[in-house]
Amino acid sequence: MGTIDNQGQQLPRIAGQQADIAVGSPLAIVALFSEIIRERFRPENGLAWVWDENSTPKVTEENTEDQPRRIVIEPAFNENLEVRNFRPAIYVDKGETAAGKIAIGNFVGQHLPSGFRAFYALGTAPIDIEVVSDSKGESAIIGDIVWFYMLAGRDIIRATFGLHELTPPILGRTVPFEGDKGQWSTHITFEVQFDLRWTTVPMGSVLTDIVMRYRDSNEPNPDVFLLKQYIK
Amino acid sequence: MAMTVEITRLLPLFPRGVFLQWDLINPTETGSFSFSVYRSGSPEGPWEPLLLGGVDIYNYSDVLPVVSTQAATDINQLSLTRGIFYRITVTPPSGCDNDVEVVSVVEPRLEGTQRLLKRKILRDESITFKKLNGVEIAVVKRMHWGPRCTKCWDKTTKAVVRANCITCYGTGFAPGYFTPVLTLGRRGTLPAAKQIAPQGIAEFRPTQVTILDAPKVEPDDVLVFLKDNKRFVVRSVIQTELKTVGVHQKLEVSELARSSVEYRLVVDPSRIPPLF
Repeated sequence: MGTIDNQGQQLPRIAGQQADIAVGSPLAIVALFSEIIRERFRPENGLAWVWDENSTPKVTEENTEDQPRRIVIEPAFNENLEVRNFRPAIYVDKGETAAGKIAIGNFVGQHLPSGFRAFYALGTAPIDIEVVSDSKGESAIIGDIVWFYMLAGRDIIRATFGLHELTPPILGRTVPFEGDKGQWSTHITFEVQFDLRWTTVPMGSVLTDIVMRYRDSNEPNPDVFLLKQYIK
Repeated sequence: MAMTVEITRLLPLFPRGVFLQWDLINPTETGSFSFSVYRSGSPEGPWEPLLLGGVDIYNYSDVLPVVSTQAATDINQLSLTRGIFYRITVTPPSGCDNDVEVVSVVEPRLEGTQRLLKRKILRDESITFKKLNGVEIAVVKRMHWGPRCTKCWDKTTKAVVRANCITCYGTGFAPGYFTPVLTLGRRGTLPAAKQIAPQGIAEFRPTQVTILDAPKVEPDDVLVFLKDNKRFVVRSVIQTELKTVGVHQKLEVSELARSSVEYRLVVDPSRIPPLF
């Protein structure tokens, strides 16, 4: 994977994602932040943890800047992740998406002759980034790196991906939980807002338009008219 | 019969130390014998000298705490499971070979029939392990006192900031674990359970291990099965006791993730390939 520039799309979606993943959809949002965080842990950034597509630890890993430890950065609840129980790791998750009204009925405009109506809403979704480690100190440090990165970069992220707003992130407590061994988890949470736009066209005016065109065409057979007009 | 040293009394004086008393069995010389007392967190050491060459001394009080330094953390008894091992060596008046007794964790001694009963139980179990269902286990005891890791230990917050540090193996102490102790034990079946969690598919392989009374195992110690190099962390210890004296240890253990730093512990470098 290369560096994120989103190829000038300015849309909340990583370029090159699977075609069924729509702009602003849950998988698009999660992919966006997963990839943004991976950027921070690339080798050239000189951290003691480095992200690589291949997670098998190297024998030379010393957890230092010159011999960094591999870190897993993935969407949360990933049933297809074949790396299990790896730590340290960062998991990105999205909460419930809500569409907020900023106008009465979300209505923003209308084309009177056709009845075409345009609507707008702001989609808001909480993002939860979890940093898991075998030690409290490491979880807290990586959590702080991610938190500050999101805080410092939020305007750039917002502009690059056409997001409406990205709230200042909150760095949570580092708390223990049990797995194959005792582990520590630090959460970074914030909300992301993105534009939702849609239109409606009233069916009555569309049908009237078709009937008028048919009458004007002098075509005796309506099937032939429709074939000529619409099935080209 | 050869000369030996026998521990006659080991009494913990919680939380400020341990009282040790010993005796010479079958002394082969006459004159003044000198004794040395050492302490460790594992029966295989490394050993910390407490008394060197004490002449005709037959008891010793290990008084805690010792003076703290910034670079090391003292031993203490402020834990329900802290295991302390003592080793006593004797030098006869002629100054020839030492005779050594390694003392297991501090606990009372059995007398008479009870002592023989314990011995019989241990013998039977030992034969079962050797001939039937025992496998070689390296018990790697975690350090709970000693010099602090110079690489990843923050002395103010008392935090390990590198969970995969290979100086302390995530313990905060250097070198993290005492010398491995080889023993035999029986491992239970390994259920392969998994569940979807925020961390993807989390895998769990908890099981039970039964070993004899020594070495005393504490939670967070690591067990390495030399046959398949699978490594487990001890979650809890249930000790079968005979009049408060340990006979067996039933350990609840959990298999460590394959990326765990404990897989880099040197357990048996003489093997080919070496077990790291």
